[in-house]
Amino acid sequence: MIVIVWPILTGLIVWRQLDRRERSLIAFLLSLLTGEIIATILRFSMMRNHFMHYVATLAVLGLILFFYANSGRSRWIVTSIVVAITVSIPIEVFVWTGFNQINTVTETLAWLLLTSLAFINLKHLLDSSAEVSLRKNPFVYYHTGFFILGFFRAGKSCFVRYFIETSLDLYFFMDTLVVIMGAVAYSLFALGILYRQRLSVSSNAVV
Amino acid sequence: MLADLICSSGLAQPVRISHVEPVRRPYASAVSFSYRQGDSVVHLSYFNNNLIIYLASEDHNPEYRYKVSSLLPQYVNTRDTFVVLPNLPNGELLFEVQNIHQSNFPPAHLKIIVESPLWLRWWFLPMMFLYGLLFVSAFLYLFYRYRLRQFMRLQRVRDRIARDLHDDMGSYLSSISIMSQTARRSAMKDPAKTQATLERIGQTARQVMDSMGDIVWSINPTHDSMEQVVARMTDVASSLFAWSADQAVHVALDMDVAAEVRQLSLSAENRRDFFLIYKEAVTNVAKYAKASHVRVSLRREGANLVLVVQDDGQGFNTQSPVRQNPSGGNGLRNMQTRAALLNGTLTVESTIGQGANVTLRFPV
Repeated sequence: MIVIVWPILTGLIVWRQLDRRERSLIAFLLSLLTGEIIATILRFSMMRNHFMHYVATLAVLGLILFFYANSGRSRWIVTSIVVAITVSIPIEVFVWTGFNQINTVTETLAWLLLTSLAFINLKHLLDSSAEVSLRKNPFVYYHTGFFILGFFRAGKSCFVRYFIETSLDLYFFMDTLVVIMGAVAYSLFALGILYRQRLSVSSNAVV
Repeated sequence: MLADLICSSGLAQPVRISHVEPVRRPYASAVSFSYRQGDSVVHLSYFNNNLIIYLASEDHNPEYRYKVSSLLPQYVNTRDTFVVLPNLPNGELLFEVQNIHQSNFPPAHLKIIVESPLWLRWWFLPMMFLYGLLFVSAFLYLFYRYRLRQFMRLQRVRDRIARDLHDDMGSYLSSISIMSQTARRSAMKDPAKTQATLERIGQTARQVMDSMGDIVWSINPTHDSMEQVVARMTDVASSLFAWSADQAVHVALDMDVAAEVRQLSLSAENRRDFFLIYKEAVTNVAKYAKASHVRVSLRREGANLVLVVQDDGQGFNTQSPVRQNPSGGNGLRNMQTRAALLNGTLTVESTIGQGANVTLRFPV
């Protein structure tokens, strides 16, 4: 019993200490995990699960909205792009690919947007005042994690449908590569959350 | 001779390809395919690469022979009126068919182009290489920015040490040099003045040692932890108030450091500014406050570190502090400057006769 309750309680305590952006990160990771579980259950039940890609795309767009579009001058630009991609999902699904097909274009665009924003924010962080130490700044780890995750997921999303239909070897290769790089990214997120107490609520933290 | 004539004039076609159709795999989606009799080229996709070619001839009992370049190099004879070509490889193939009984006529041709999948096209591997290169380049670029930043940080520390050495050490050593010349000139004429000058040289030399100790302490990375900072803060306060005790004033020191503060670590720059603010505050208490009780409190409030130095001394008017030290007077201003460098705030509260309260608040 304690094995179940203890992690949940610890998680709730940590959740209360997180700020809005970090909560969006946790929610995003949980949605990806839940999506994978549902997709696996559907696969084992011999049901086509490609519609889960719509959920994953929406999760990425939600993350971008809460993590990257909550402040700064580029807020409205990022929000506009997110809205445009979100509107494009049903258009791609119902007009182009058909329901329960992978939404290649919008999914790739969403991951690429996340990658670009992570790169820009990481560069902005590195260009910030040298007075502030970055070693224990959690956002360095978050942005690096998003950059790695987004870059490889975008590459996979671009070809996943094609590979499923034409070459399962390449599909499994890409899938394994994304899993490995995802492990690296998740490790970085864990490091960032470990360091969150130092700067996450600081008024002059560079993020 | 007649056959050659017919052939060259195009009047006779002993064998012709009447119809071509793909064989659709059950799981593959329908692909548009068109062939009109007389076409010389058909296009197939790599996942729909099975073909049936129907043959026709004027001969009543035809026997055909056919070959497919790079697939079936030798002729294959058949009496069927169709040819099934399954699982055709990617690329261009040339199908040739001829009526064996009319071998003098040229064969009928059909070029079959099977489109390659994306990953077998010439641009796919270079594109993947470029994509990987983009990732590596982005990381190298970020690493370059990081190294540049670290270099800037190092340069800033060097500049700071150089500035401290120049400002503190330089002025003190200049004073010692000038005072020693004064002492030498007045050694014979005015021994009392010489004595006073030597006393001031000694005092200045002690200040040099003190400042040098602060500089060395602040750049030593082993003192990054707040534990070390608190230990030095206690040392400084103890030594200062022990000196006050010689003045027949007993000063009780109360250091209250919260447990979570000891887990923190400060950068060299922040540590130095923080420590010098503290040192200035307790030095002021020791020199001017005439206090009997000093309380130093260090705690954390959210993301801020809060230092409070409180005494029950004579206090002063914060709007116009009396300059009790004729050669000084920059202490409070320096403290404010250092607090600004820490992105923090320094509050000095005092009422005459009721002691003073110095509060430093800065983010960590």
